[in-house]
Amino acid sequence: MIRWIGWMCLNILQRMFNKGGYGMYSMLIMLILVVVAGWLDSRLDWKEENNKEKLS
Amino acid sequence: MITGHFGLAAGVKKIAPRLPLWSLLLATFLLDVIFTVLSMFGLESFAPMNPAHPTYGEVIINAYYTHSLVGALLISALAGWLASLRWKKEGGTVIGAVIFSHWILDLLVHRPDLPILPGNLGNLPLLGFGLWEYPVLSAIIELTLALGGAYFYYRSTMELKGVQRTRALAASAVTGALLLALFIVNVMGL
Repeated sequence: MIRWIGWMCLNILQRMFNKGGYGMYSMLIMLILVVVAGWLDSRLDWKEENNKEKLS
Repeated sequence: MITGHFGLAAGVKKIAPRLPLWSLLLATFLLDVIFTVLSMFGLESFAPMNPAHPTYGEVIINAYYTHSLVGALLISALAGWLASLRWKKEGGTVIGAVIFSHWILDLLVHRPDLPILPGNLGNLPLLGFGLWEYPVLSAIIELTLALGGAYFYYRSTMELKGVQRTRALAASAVTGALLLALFIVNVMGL
């Protein structure tokens, strides 16, 4: 199962790079954007904002 | 319209700070992720008009399932419902809307290649305003969405204080820089 999932992921990435329509550098930046910006954002404490939302 | 999609997703953080940025970024790109999976099975396809010199907006797209109006609505509704299980109804609605925003932005730039029904059932007219015929104009729109998205993401972090403020500035700077880099690389066809 894990091998199959790994194969699927690799195949999808290869497709994205080669035939998915995006250039290799575009794809790399997209992946970095989702992972790095997503991680940096996840380190922020949005509780204060959440409380505001609930109050409003 | 890659950068435009991501720019819009980053900007949505201003109105939905509860949602993690990664979920918004993934949502805005979900139709293309499913498109890539379908292309593995030959159901959809994408090719540059001139493979030797791929140029910004010069593409032939056959995405009759994921990028059909009804298909995009169904994917948005289903993914929005799944998201609502984790981020409540409001979060699910925002995620669903961000997913569907992909189709709206594609409608602006695509040449008429977006069907109404999945598989282009009934051979109804294909949709697309074709802004890619005017690459400078579509690039300006993309850049505006990217810079606007980075700005609104930054604005969404204004209330954070202390260490959180420093982290927020770093997150804003990195998000803005990556959006700008994505725009440049995409327009150069790399």
